[in-house]
Amino acid sequence: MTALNLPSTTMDRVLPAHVIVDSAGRVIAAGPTARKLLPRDAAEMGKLVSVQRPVKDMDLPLALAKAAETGDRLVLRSFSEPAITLRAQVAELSGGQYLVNLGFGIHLGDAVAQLGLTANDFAATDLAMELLFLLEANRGVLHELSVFNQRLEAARDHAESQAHTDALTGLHNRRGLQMALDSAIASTRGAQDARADSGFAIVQLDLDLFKQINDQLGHAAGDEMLHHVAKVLRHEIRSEDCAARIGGDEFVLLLRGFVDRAALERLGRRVISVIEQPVTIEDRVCRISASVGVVTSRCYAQPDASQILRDADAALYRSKHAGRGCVSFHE
Amino acid sequence: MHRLVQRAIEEFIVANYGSEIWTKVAAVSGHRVSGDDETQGQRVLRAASQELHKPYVELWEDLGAWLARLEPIRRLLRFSGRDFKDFLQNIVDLPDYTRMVIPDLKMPGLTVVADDDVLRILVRRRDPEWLHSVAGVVRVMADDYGALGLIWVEPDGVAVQISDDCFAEARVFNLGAGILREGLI
Repeated sequence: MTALNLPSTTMDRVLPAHVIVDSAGRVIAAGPTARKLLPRDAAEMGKLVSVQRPVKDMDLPLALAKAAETGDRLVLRSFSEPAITLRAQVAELSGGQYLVNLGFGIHLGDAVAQLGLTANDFAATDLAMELLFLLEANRGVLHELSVFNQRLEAARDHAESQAHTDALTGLHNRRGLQMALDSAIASTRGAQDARADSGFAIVQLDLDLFKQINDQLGHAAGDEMLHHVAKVLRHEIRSEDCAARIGGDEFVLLLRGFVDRAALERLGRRVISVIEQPVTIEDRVCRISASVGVVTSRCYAQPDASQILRDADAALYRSKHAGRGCVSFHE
Repeated sequence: MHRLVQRAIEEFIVANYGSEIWTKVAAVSGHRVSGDDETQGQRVLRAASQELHKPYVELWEDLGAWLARLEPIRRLLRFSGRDFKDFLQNIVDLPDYTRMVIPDLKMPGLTVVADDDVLRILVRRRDPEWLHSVAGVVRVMADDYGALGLIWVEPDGVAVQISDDCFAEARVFNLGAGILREGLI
């Protein structure tokens, strides 16, 4: 066995956080990092740190002797910096002295911040710098990635809503209507009998005389008229409903929980009368009208989206044939 | 190219040239937020180079310099060394450090060779993009450490001639500041 007898400068470099105490627990020497925790003039180590493990508040000299004997780790806490828990390895030296090597463990970050430690406070073999680097780098990368994910989600939401939206009017498009209708049908399926739950109605609407506006005033005027109709329809729906433009001048309302025939007829007539009110576009007074076909989920034991839309279309066709401004029902 | 690189490029252009230029450059280069293709970063900076009438590689150097000046990144770089010379010697570890936090970045390996008073950081693969962004980083870090150095790009690396290791005061690097900022006790 080689008896090491190292000069204090070497000890300070190799084990910068070491303390040498005598059998009574008095500090005899300490490395530069340890001194930041245990100032030189404080002689008794037991007055600077309390023992946390193996037994809380154990007498320090006793704890050192035991740890030196078993080789177990000692856990200490500084009185002046209670946030910092220290781990210590203890070795018995000649003359009843102990070598106590301190480490910060998981509390490294706190210790560095509280004690103002620098790279020079750690031995060259210590992984402290790598750990601190990881701590900061990880936080930065996670933050950047979360920013990126938020933007990605926003872009996806935007693309998704664009895919379901009619670019001209901002109403749903055919695809948006299809999704809303599927969801309405799915919720009727939950009920014992499709006809017993609150159900929904499809109100299909086709503009009359719209072609003349397009032909006489041009497409810009036609587009403005479509905007106007979209606005009228938007006023008729609640948040769970859906208003869609599914063709040039064809619109559909999906009204959930609304199947009363008389009330639907009143709604159809009101929408038609609002649409029939004259609108001024490019200094010209324009008048159009609309025909309406209505179908409710009550008509079906097993509602089917394409069947419902076909029937609404057929009802609309009957209105068209009956002349402008009519409301027809699929029976 | 890694999405973090894409983000860096976007932020760099917005911070230095404004969001209008960014919108233009993004449109011209067909940039997509979710774009994962390898050459998107190059395409974006080529478009920026056209738009700004600036050499392509100069933009990569500016990007490296801009990154190194951002405080969180400057701090990470300062972990690499006590002084500028130490930083240059330890820069060989940078790809490994990077891999610890961003395993899929594919940063090329770096080697340092000393030749009289010239240190050469050799960049494996010799991608001009990496060569020039490393040069930008080194330039800013010389400043940060308060060292005076002549820095130029060669076909396979970045050469540094250190004239005087401490001609100016280095900027402060407080090891614990990154922890304090988070408000931990």
